[in-house]
Amino acid sequence: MGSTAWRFANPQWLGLSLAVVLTAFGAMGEPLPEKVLGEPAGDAGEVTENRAPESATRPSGDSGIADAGRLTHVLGGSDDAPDSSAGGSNLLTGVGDAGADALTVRGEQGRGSDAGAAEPRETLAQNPVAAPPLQLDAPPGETPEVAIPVPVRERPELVIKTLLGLVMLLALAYLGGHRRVQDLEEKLGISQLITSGLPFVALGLFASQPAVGILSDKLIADLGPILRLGLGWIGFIVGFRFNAQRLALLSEGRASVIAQRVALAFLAIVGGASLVLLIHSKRDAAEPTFIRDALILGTAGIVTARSTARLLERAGGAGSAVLVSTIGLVEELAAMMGLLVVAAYFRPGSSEANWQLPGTAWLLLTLGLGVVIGMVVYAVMLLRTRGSAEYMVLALGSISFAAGMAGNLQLSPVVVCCVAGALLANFPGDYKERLERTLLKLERPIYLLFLIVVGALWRVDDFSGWILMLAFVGARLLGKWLGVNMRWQAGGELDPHQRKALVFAPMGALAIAIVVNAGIFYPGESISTIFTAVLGGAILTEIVVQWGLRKDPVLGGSGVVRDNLSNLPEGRS
Amino acid sequence: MPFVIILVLTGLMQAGRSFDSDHPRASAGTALSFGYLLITAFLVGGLFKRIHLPKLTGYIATGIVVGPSVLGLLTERMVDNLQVFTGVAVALIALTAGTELELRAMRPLFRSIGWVTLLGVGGTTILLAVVVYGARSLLPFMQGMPTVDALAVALVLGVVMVAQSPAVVVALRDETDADGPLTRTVLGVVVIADLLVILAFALASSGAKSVLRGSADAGATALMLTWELLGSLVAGLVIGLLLAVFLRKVRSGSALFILMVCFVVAEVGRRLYLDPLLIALSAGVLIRNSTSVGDQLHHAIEASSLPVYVIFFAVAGATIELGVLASVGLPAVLFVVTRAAGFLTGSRLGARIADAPDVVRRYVGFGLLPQAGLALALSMLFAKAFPEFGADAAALTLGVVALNEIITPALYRAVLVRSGEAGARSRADDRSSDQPEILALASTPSPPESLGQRDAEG
Repeated sequence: MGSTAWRFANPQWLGLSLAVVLTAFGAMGEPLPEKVLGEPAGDAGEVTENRAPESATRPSGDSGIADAGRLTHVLGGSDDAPDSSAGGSNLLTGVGDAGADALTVRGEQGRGSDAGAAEPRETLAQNPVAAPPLQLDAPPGETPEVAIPVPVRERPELVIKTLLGLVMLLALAYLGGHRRVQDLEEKLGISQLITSGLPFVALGLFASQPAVGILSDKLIADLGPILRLGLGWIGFIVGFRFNAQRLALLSEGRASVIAQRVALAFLAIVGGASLVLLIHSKRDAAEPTFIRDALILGTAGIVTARSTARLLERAGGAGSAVLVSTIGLVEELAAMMGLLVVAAYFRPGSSEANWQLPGTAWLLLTLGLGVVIGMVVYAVMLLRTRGSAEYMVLALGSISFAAGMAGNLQLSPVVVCCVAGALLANFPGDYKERLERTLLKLERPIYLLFLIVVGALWRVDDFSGWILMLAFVGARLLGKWLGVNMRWQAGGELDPHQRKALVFAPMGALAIAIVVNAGIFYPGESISTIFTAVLGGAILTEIVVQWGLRKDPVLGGSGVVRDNLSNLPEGRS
Repeated sequence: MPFVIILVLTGLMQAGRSFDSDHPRASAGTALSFGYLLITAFLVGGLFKRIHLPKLTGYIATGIVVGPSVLGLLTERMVDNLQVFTGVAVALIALTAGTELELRAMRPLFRSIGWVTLLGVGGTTILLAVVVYGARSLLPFMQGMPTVDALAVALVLGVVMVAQSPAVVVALRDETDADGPLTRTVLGVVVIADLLVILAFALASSGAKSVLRGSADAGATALMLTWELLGSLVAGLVIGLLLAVFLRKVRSGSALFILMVCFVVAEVGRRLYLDPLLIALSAGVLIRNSTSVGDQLHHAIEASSLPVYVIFFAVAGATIELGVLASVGLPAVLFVVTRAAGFLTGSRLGARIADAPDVVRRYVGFGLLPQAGLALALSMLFAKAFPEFGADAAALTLGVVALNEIITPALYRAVLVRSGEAGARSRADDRSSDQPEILALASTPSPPESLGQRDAEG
C-alpha cells in the first residue's frame, strides 16, 4: 500500500487533528476538576485518596459486573445520578435502575454496583519523581467505577457531543487524505509523526479527560485487555521476525561488530539517562529500583523502529536496508533480553503472588512458558483452516491467550509472546505466510487501539518525566552516534546515510511496549516518570527523524515511512 | 488434534488460574479468558459442525462448559469483563442484520412478514400468557395472587418469553450461507418483532405495575419509550449517514472506523438509555437501502464477523446458569414447548393467510425459536421492575432462554439445510463467477423479480 493510501487506511492524522479539535471542543464544556495532591510515600508514590461527595451516586446493583481490577489513577467523582424519572430502567439495554446488561444472565448481576461513593481523582504527587501510579489493575477489595447512566438533562448534550465527534472524525479523515493537507504536513514537517500512529496517544489522552467523558475509568479498565493484547501482539511480531537462518548468515566478524555497536549504544543510553535520573530523583545508585529504571530506559532506548530500514530501502539502498534491518533485529533481541532480565530479577512488589521463586527461576519460567505456548500455537496453526477469518480467530485467540497467561503469572507478555513468535517463525510448516498476512492485517487496528489506551493511561502533567525525556533522547542520540561511529573510525562498513538513519532513528512500537509493560508490572512507582520520558521520547524522535533527515539528499526524499512491525513489504498489505 | 489442543489449553488455563487465585490481574484474566474462549469455542464449533450441528451451538456449549456453571475455568468476573466485547459484537451483528434488510428485495415478503409477526409472535405472546396463568399453581411466586394481578403478570411474562434473537438468525445465515424467501422472511420477522417486543414489554410492565401497585406513570413510560425507540432510530440514521459518507469519501480503513463507531454506539448508547442494537440496525438498513455502499459495508464487517460471533455466543453460553434450570425445570420445559407450539402454529397460519411460498409456511416458525440477548435483558428488567417476586420469575424466564439457546439453533440450522436455502449464496456466487460477466449480469434479475419468482416457485 502506498503511503497516500496508507494514510487513509490508518488515519493517524485524524487522531492528532481530532484530539486537537475535540480538546478545544471539550474545553468548552465543564471545567476539569481541581487536582488534588496526594502525599507520596517514598518511591512507591502512594497517593492519598480524597473521597468525592456522596452525591455521586452509582446505579444500584447487587454485584458489580466488574469488581475486577480497575484503573485507579483516574477515579473521578461525578454528580451524574442515575435518572429515575423515566421509570428508572432502560428497556433496551437494561441499565439504569435495572442495572443489568443486555446479556447478563447471572441472577442479580448487573453493570451496577453497590460501589457507594465515587472514588477520588488521583492526582499528581508533589514529589515529582514519585508520580501518580500508572496502574491497570486495582488492588483486591477496591470497588470499580461503573458506567453511569446519563441524567435526562445531560443526554442531548452527550448525543450532540458524540455525533459531533464522529462528524469531526469523518471530516478529518477526509481532510487527512487531501493532497493540499498532505503538502501542508510536509511543509510543517509532521508527516512522520502522523504516520507513526502516535497521534492516537493524544486521542486517548484527550478522550480520557473528565470534561470529554468518552474514555471513563470503567471503560479504560474494560480496555485493559487490549493493552495486554497489544503488548502480546507486538512481542509476537517481533519474535516472528527472528528468523534463525537469517541471523546465521551473518559472518562472525559482522555479528561481533553489530553486537559491540548495540552494546555501546545501550550502555551510553543507560549511562546518560541514569545520570539525569540520579541527579533529578536524588536516589541512591545502588537502590534496586534505580537500577531497574535505568535498565528499562536503556532497553527502551536501544530499539530502532522498522521504519529506518524502510527509509533506506525507499532511498534505493536495498543492501543498506538489509544491514540496518539486521542491526535493528539485534537491537530488538537485546531489548527483549533486557526486558526478560528486568521482569525476572525485579519482581513486582505485590506479595500476594503464590509462587516465591528466585530471579533465575522466573527467567526460566518466562522462557518455558513462551516455548510451551509457542508449541500450542504451532499445533493450532497446523490445523486445517480454510479462510483468513479462521486464521484471524486463531491468531487473535492465541496471542490473547499467551498475553493473558503471561499477565496472570506476572511475566512479561512481550517476552513470552516473542518467544512463542520466534518458535513459530522457525518451525516447519506452510502456515507462515498466512499467519504473517493475518498479523499484518490486524497489526494496525490493534496497535492503534493500544496507543489509545496508552494515551488514556498517560499522565502528561508529570514534569519530571518531561525533563527526563530530554535527557533520555539526548542520551539516545549520543549512544546511537557512538555506536555507529565506533566502527566507522576503524574502517567500518556503514555509509553516511546508514549512520545518519541509525542515529536519527525513531524508537518505534517496541520501545513503547517495553515501558507499558514496565508500567503494568510496577504500578505506583517511579515508572510513571519513565513512562512519560519514553513516550515523549518516542514522539520527539519521530519529529527528530523528520527534521534530521529532511535535508539529506538521499534520505530526505524518501517520504513518510510507516513503522510496520512485520516483515511484509507495504505493497502486500 | 483439536481435542488434544483443547485439553492442553484447558490444562494451561487451569494452571494459570491456580497461580494467584486470590488476586488475579483482571485485565490479564480477561485477555486470558478471551483468548481461551476464542480458540476453544472455535475448535468446538468445528467439532459440532462435523456432527451436523451449528457451530454457534458449539460456541454456546463451550461457554456453558468452561463457564462458572460447570468447570469454572472462567470465573463470573471474567465473564462479566468480557461483556465489553459483546457490546461491540451486538452492534456489529445488528449492523450486519441491517445491511441484510434490502427493503426493495423484501417487498414481496412484506405481507408474509406482517402476518407471521401478527399471528406468530402476537399469538404466541397471548398463548404464553394464557399458559402461564393456567399453570400458576406450578409457579410459587404466583400462588395466591388475585386473578387480575396474575393475568397482568402472566402477560408480562408472555412478552418476556416470546423475545427472539436476530443475532442467532444472522449468525446461522452466515454460517450456512443461506439465502432465499425463508431466510429473508425470518430475518424480517425477528427484526420487527424485536421492536414490538420492546414496546410490548414497556406497556405490559407499566400496566402490571398499575394493577399490582395501583399507580403507574403513563406519561413517563411514553416518554421513555419515545426516547428509547425514536432516539435509537434517529441516532442510527445519523450514524448510518456518517458511515455512508466515510465509505464513499474515505473508503480505506473502514474496518477500523466501523469498529470505533460500534464501540461508541455500544458504550455511549448504553449510558444514554439508547439501544445499541436498534441504532446499529437502523444504520445498516439506511446504508443498504439509501446508499450504494451497502456491499462495501457488508464486506468490511464480514472480515471480522467470525471472531465476533465466536466470542459473542461463547460469552452468552458462559452466562447461562445450569443451576437455574434444575430449579425451574418442569415449568421451563412447559413454556419452551408452549412457545415452540405457538410459533410453529401461528407462523404457519400467518404464512398461509399471506399466501407465502411453501418453504416459508413450513419452516418460518423454526427461525423464531432461538433466543439470546433481548430475552435475557428483559428477564433482568422484569426482576428489577417487580422486586417482590421478580427474582423467582426471572429464574424461570432465564431457564426458558437457556433451553432455547441450547436447543433451537440446531433446529433452525436443520431447517435451513432441509429447505435448500443453505449454501444458496455460495452457489449463486459460483454460478455468477462461472459465467462471462455480461451473461452473469443479464441472467441476474432485479431483486424484487428474483424474489418474486422464487416465491412463486416456492
